[in-house]
Amino acid sequence: MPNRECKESSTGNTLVGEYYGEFHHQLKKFLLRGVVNDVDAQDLAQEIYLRLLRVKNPELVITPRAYVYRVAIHVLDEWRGRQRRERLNSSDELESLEASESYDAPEQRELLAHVQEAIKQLPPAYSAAVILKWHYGMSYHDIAQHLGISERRVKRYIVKGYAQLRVRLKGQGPSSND
Amino acid sequence: MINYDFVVTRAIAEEAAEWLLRLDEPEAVVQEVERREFVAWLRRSPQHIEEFLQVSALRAAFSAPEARSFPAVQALINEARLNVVDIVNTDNTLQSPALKMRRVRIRRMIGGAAGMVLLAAAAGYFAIDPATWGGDTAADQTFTTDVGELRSVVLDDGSVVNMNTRSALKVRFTQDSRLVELTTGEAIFDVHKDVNRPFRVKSGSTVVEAIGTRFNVYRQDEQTVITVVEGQVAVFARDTAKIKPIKAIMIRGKPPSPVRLETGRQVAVLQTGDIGAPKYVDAKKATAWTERQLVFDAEPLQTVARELNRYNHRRLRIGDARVAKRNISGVFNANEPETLLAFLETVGDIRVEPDPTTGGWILHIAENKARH
Repeated sequence: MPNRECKESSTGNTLVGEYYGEFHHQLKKFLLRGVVNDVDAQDLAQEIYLRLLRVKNPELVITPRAYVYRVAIHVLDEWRGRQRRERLNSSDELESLEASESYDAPEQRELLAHVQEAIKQLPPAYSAAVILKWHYGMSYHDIAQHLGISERRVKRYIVKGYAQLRVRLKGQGPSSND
Repeated sequence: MINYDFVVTRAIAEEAAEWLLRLDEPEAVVQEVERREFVAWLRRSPQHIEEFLQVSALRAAFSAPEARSFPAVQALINEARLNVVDIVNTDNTLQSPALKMRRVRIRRMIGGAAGMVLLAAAAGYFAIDPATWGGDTAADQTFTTDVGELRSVVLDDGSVVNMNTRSALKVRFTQDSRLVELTTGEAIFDVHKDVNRPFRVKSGSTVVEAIGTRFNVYRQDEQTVITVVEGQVAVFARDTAKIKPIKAIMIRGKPPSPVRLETGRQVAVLQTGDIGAPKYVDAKKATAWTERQLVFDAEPLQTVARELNRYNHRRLRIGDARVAKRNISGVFNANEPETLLAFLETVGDIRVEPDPTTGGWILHIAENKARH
């Protein structure tokens, strides 16, 4: 019996790992599209929120981050399933459906262009901190050395820079629709 | 309104980014306490979850294979170093407007403190204590929901209010108090902890006070029902006849014998000021409406109909006294009275009749079970 428990929890962990990996495809694509269309992202968050409230012992959520991603992917799957059924019922656009689900590099590039455009508007120290950390994967220590500031301030710049970027991207939503 | 929206987004986005950075630290195994804090943070509102997903997505986007056209490392560093001094000096201007406003207000408060003492002596607390609901001020915010509408509102302090159908709130935040008046309907308050500013909800003459907790307040015609989902609250049945109205709220620390309620407890306060005995309830049942579900456990049909009618324009009417007392148990969709009607048909002795005048339905006891 203890053996079995062990096995189950290890399977659980790999599952979390897989989901996390999957995040880079499905969820990211969905959310980046959400940069243009905020409403979908809000619906998704609302659904996750309701599910999270239903968790009786929140302290038992051992890896909250993976949990949130996993629930998000689960909800997206459900939506997709429902959409597919509805579409298949109404028409036989099976081919276009397949196409829309495949990884869409041009769309990703277009969305990234938004991000790159918006980040130019930030104070240079903010955008440098964000890009050096998140794009080039540099350590806080190295960024701090290069910019001649403390590590603490580097983190502050990333947080501030990101939040400004987020508001800019959100502000673009309605105008850049379609 | 849009501005306010952006201020909230930015504040939550910053917190989300802070969490992501903390959770990203490779060497630090995320501590138990931190983990709990993070879950609690996520549970604050759907917007918190959305912002965490957004920051995760954007962070991932930066390392995507398509992300190529960022400036080179050296260019970034040069550009930033040229500007670092400026940025540091003007850091104040980059603060969120909310924070700046708060600073200004605090300064103004300190400046005016001496004057306030005099004013207080002259006019008494009644006139200037901000912890009162007397009159309207420009800073008051109001929120409403229509029939069938649910709405989640993030208040300035980060507290989240989930409003049920046909409800109205008036919000007044000041330096040392957070006041919300439930003018009609029902809401769940997810109160952001702030020991210096108690959070008070007023419903009729009843006042519920919390510091950091989650509770449901349902204002009905004849009573207000308070259910604590998590934490603790103090309930004041303000007897307007005996206690001077304002003092009942403003005597801090020594309120007139409130009833203390903890997790899973519910109390009903009648309009007369009488507080019923607290009872243990299933808090999930009291908050099931957030998922548009109504849960009834041997409730008279009259109550069931009243509850369903809160959510729909097409009303259920009780045809006679006997049907009103018929007990019903079940879970029904608040926006689909049909789910209840379908259920009633299976009960056998209840007859559902269309109500031509309202487009709703009338419920009767079927005289003869055999007759269809």
